[in-house]
Amino acid sequence: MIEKKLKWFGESGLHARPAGQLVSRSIEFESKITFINCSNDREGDGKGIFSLLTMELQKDTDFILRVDGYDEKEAMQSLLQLMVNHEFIAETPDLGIKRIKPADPETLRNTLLPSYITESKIYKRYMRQK
Amino acid sequence: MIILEGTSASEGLAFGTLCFDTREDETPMFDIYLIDNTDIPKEVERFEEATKSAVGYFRKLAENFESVAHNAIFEAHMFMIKDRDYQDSVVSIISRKKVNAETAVWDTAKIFEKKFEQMSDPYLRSRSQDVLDISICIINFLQNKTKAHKVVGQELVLCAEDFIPSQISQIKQRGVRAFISKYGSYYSHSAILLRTMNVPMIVNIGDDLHPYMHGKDAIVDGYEGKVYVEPDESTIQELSQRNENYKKLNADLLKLVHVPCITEDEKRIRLCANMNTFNELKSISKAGADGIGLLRSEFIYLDRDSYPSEDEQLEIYKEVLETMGDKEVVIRTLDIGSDKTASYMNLEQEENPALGRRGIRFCLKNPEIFRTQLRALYRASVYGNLSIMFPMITSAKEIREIKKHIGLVCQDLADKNIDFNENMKLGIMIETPIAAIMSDKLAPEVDFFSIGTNDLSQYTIAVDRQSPVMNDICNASTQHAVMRLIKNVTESAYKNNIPVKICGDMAFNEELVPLFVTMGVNELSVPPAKVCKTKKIIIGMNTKNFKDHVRFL
Repeated sequence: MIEKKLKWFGESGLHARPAGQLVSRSIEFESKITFINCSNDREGDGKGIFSLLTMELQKDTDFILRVDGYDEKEAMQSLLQLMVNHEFIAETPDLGIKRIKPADPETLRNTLLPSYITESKIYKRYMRQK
Repeated sequence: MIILEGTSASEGLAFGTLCFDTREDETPMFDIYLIDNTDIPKEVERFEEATKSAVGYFRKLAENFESVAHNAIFEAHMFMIKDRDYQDSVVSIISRKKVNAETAVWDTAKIFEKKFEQMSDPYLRSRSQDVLDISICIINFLQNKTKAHKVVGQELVLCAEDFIPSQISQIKQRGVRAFISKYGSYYSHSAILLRTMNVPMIVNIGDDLHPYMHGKDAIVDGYEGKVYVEPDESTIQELSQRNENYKKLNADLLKLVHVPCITEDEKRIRLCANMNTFNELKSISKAGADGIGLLRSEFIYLDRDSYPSEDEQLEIYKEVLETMGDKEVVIRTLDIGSDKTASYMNLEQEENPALGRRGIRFCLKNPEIFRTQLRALYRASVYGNLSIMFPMITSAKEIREIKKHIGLVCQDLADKNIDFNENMKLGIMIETPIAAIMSDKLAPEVDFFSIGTNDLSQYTIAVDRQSPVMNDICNASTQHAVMRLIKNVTESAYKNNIPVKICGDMAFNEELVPLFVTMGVNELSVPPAKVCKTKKIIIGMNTKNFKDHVRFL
């Protein structure tokens, strides 16, 4: 069993979207994955979205990530990488994990137009045709 | 490309998918029945099948979106369906209570909903909606219905015969970009709401708006009143460009926020904002307004199950007054009836509700409700600069009756040693032709007049503001008639030395604002988004140039 104490950094707490991402990563592994909210001692099963949400983990709150099983090392590494990439936790040197930013060539072009246009389906189709 | 034409009821430009399904299927229809012990495995299997279909459904939805953010929402939905706690709960209800799968799913949904609703974080509380969403989806698959589930998170242009205000307040949180309707009018309350929310709306499109267009992409041009269904490239490009220009114009207007509202010939006009919902309070305090000229207190009464108590109201009024500081806040007492009602009020059905028991007529008939609001208002009066006004006044007799109620409320508060401001300013809405014509008799009774131009127009030309006929009949000459009435009101007010305010859509009409200012109107109250636009008109005008217009009105 390995444990890591971390601080939730993600904007507005552990919400549905990040929870979904954590579950989708957790179920790739056999190990038992547990999140523990240090402020209220509630535990959340990394493979169950409702139990993660009901932990009520707020921004800037400490939590413990506990992984237990034969693939615990890979699982821990993989989850930490995911959380750093999406800025759920801060990228600190002692973690030994570098943030990998997804390459997005469109971002630059889109900054010129408001998001409600660039995010719309019609605009995207128009860009594709172009 | 098809171009639909209607009347623009709220400006703006929106890209989205046309959607005709506006029904909120909160409680799905299904049979509840008990099953035999031997049927339990079969029922569990049915549930598992439906779960698989539901997951597949959300996966397909997710594929329709390219943005990662949308994908993650549907991914979260998929995991909620597959969640072990959720599944265990359904299976255990089936085997323990021996009920059919639909019932077990709905019971589980209710259990989880309760769990979320107890949370302190408002975001997490609203996740209960997601639980209901996925449960409805599973139940639909159990019944082999595949389409009824509503699409969330998508950019939608809602289409309907007509919209009612409560529909709009419910729909606000969903991904709706614009509203278009077959009927309806510029003057309906839903249009007013959308104008304050800056969401485009086009009404009165007629039968061209046909349900076969459901699911097609469209651009809604709320400036011109046009809907482009399946637009071509050049149209998209042209409209995006135009939208940018409008936005630039708005940015220029925002620079006027801290400029005082004075005409070229140095007449000071008070420019206030209207408040329709509590959420607007923040935008009003930033809009550069001189106060709140019309707080429609109905929002406290709508969207709930019972009348709000005195303390509940006091809390709301207190917060508004404290936010606005020493700026004046004018609260209009409950104007219920006509198209604004809530089911708990049990209003009697009338043939013509707009001409029936609404506004002050309702309050005087139900003195307990009226006095509860008056008590809350008087108790709130010590927290800021509060004035109150009364809707739908037709005679001096009504004003005297109101004052009798106020006298009783004040007496009671004084007896109980509760602080209140006994010199609070009392005004009336001038929104019936009789009040406008007889304003010289009403003026001595009150501290100010506030002209509600929307209702005054509808009652002057005898057309229901909800009716599509309004669009045909309302023109320059009907406006002229209303302007004559307003001129009459300003003259009576001037003789009696009381101020006149104007609220309603005429108050930000480019052509009419200079005439109002020249007539001697002291205050205009407009939606928060229109404050700067109206200020620009006033700053650029000189009453000298409009004297003749007003004289020969």
